Amino acid sequence: MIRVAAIFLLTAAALRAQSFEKLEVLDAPGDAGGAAWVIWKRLPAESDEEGAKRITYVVSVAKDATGDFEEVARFPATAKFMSDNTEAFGWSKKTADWHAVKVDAPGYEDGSAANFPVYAKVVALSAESEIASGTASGIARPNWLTASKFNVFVFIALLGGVMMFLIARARRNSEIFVRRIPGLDAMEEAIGRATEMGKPILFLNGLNDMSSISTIASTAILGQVAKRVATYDTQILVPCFDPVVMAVSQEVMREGFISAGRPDSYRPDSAFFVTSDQFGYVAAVDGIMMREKPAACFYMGYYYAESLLLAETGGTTGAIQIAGTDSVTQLPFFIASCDYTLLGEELYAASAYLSREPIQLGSLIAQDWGKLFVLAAIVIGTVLALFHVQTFVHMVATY
Amino acid sequence: MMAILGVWVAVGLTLFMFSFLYKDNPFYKVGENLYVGITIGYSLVKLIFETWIPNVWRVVHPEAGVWFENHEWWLILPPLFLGSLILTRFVPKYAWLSRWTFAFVVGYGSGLAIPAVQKQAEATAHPLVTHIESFDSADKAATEAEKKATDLAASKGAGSDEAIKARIDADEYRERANAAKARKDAVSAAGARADKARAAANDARKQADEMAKKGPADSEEVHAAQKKATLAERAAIGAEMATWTAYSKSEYSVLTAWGDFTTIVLFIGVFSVLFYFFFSIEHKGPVKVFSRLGIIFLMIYFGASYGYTVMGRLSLLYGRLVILRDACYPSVGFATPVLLVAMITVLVVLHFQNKDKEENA
Amino acid sequence: MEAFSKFVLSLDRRWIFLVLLLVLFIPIACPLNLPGLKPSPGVTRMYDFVENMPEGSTILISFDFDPASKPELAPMGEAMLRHAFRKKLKVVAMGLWVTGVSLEKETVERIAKEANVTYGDDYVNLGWKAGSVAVITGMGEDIHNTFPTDAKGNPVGSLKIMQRVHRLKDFDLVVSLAAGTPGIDTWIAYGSDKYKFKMGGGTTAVNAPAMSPYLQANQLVGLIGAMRGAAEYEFLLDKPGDAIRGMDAISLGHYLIVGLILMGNIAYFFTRSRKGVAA
Repeated sequence: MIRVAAIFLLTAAALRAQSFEKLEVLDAPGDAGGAAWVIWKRLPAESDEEGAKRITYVVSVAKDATGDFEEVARFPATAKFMSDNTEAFGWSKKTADWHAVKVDAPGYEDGSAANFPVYAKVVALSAESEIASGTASGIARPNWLTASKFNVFVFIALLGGVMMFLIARARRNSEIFVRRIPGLDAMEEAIGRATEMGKPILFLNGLNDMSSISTIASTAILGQVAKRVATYDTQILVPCFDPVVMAVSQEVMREGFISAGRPDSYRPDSAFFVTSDQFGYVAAVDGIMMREKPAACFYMGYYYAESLLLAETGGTTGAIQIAGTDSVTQLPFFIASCDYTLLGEELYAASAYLSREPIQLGSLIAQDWGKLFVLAAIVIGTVLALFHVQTFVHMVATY
Repeated sequence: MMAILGVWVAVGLTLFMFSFLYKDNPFYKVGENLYVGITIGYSLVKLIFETWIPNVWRVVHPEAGVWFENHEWWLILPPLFLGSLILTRFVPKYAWLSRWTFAFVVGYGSGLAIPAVQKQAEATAHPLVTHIESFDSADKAATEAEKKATDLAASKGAGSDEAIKARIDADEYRERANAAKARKDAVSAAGARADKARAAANDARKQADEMAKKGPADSEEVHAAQKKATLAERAAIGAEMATWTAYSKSEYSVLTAWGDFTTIVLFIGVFSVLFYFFFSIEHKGPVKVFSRLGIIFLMIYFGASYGYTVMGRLSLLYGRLVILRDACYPSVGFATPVLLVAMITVLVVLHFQNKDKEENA
Repeated sequence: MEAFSKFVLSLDRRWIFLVLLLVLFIPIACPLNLPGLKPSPGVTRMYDFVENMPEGSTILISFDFDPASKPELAPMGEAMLRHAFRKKLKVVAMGLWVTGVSLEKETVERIAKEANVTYGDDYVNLGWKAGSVAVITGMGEDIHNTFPTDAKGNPVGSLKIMQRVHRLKDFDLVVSLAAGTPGIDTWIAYGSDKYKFKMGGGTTAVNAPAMSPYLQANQLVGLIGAMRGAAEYEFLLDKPGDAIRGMDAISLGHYLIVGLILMGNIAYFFTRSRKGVAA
């Protein structure tokens, strides 16, 4: 009790003798404007917890120095430090000695300008006295760059650099090693069987548009399949979900037929548009399967809930079925109902393996490097975490 | 009248689609073509009225302009330009132009996806073994640090850099000590709460049982009491579990060990699955073992996911069956039974006709 | 045993379809009221969160599904709307799936009528807008800019609720009831991670395992999974709806499927071991 009273007196006395040091208004970094940070150094009276508990800060802001100051925050001195906001102030230990409050710039809501002046005042209250700061000002402005995402930039730049380098290397020498994926043999076998039986091959590109990596990979595989189809003189059907994907499919198939030396056997209508509605598409493709009874079905690209409906129907027609998708939720159904399934990234790998295209090969190897980097980051992070070293985690932390 | 017609159409089309399970037949073909046609028409209309008109047409048509008023109408130009580039796909000579658009979309997507990978890596990097600081040792460390800070403040002045640094360190230690104390206190508090919740649950259950014994067991009051008891029991179990969790956070216990075990399994899982997807190395020797392990992890996940989906599919089937049941009543003219019988009759006739044809052939 | 294996492995799948149909139809025709519905942690957390929201808080419910997922997700939407209106929360509804627009509108209007609340003061329907990710990021910055008008064509600024909410951050809770993409993951990646607001989710059984890490990582305040989750929510709300009625059928269906899987595996392993002996 005596101790508390002593601290109380000390705090009161100390607060009276103190003044605010270094009150500043800073633009909030990396935002679209309209917000600012009000920061100031902790008062010496906060030097221990008991002292800090007795002080309450009140922050008010205004449009101009003479304007009406409006209270925007009121909190005990034990809260709101710079160090709580690492995305703005970094991980330096010194930030624990500063208070920081994020405020909205007055007048921002009316959206009349890009830059807003912010004037701020802070008052420290204790039981029997209060001290006020002077007025500090700053400008809240929109920022072009978000510095807290710099580590992401470094990671992407690194990965991009490695990718460019590997693509260049693959251009010089396409003998880069890529492990053979077992599913590829099955694809070869399926095309052969369709030829023997004199029945068509059904190839689906998935339900995404051309901006999806899995669709790009599936059209690349389609090009290779078309080449084999042309060589064996088999029929191929490619019902499409997206008109642009249809145009691309026609293009890669034509190229496939040309490179197999049979441009005249190519029929542009073998790739055709059906509908861009998920289950409408399924109904149509299921109907095609029952009527045409294809000998082989390829499901490449990205799929949603329709996966099992397609693969089940394909299964009842007795076709050899090969799927490849990076849609994690649909993989189980393809695995259960198809003869062979390319899992996730194997789809990209298959397309690179078959086409031997430098861009695809280079990026595939670059992805391996990316995975290695992630693995290394996890291992290093885990080991350091065991010793309570956080620096590395701070370096890769995202905001 | 229209409502009844709607029910007939819904029931009819549902039965048409289900008839595919028997085999491909004219009913299914009708349903299929209707479906494809309607969906194309619907998406086209939606696209025109919800995307084209508000986002593009109104911009070039200033009278209707919402955008014009905002003085930001030119913002529509870059996306409009990029969007039109996609259409060059239909002109083989200029098809390469569409890559700009795709490059933009893919770039935007990876910019958002890569931080997500980073975040996952961050989340995976946990200490594999939990270290729990006891209150006593944390308190001791904090007291020492505080003493040092006070000494430094006295000798070098409270405003000196060294003193400030010492003070920040001391605060950190004190915070850790406080956290340890809070963990310790939380255990006893949670324990008290759990005891209280269990007693309340027991009371509620007893009351419900007595009511069921006394009155009619199927009455609404009994149901309400039973439900109350179930909720109270749930709360009690929750409180008991919370006690265990609190204890495992304050002292290394079985639950903490179990947490560490799952962290280790997660770690191995992430590691081996990532290994499986390395394409530039041959899967031989230890790599093979590890990638096999990765496949096992994947298959377990796929199994769980499969089970969940079966549940989802059954719900969808249930939804359709409810529609069929609701159309069994005279108010809608016995739609389900009438259509069902009609369809089966036609299918049977078709079956025999086909058989005759085959025999004649 | 041999006859059994032969029978199982050569069974025409159409018999299975028929049996499943019958098994599901029995509880629909005459309800069985099977016991044993216990709320899971994800649903309880969601319910508790809404339950503890103070009167007048704003909640955004995004109906990100179409009629194909109606049996699973519509009951969640109904239950959450009922809960929100009962707690006197201000509800803003919207959707990211164009094919779900009319379903969303119908559901919201029906429950609002049932709860006797006024449009504009107690609830608002923003409707649908193209662009999924762009819609979310746009709403993160300025909802009034993204949705200049609501689903009925009223200027959004003229609606009482909307005068209080300008950005996603202004909502006390955002819930996405999603059947796929765009859905919960889109809302988290492009919305709550960036603009810092509380997020809850409801999803189909297919997507539930993929969404549960978000719950574990506390990126979601709660997660309602599948029709079962919806039934649990209805149970907690003490207002039985379509989901609770559906659970009987689903449970029976599960028993049948587990039985079939066991039968199939026994038959398969039996024939395999016999083949092994013969070789």
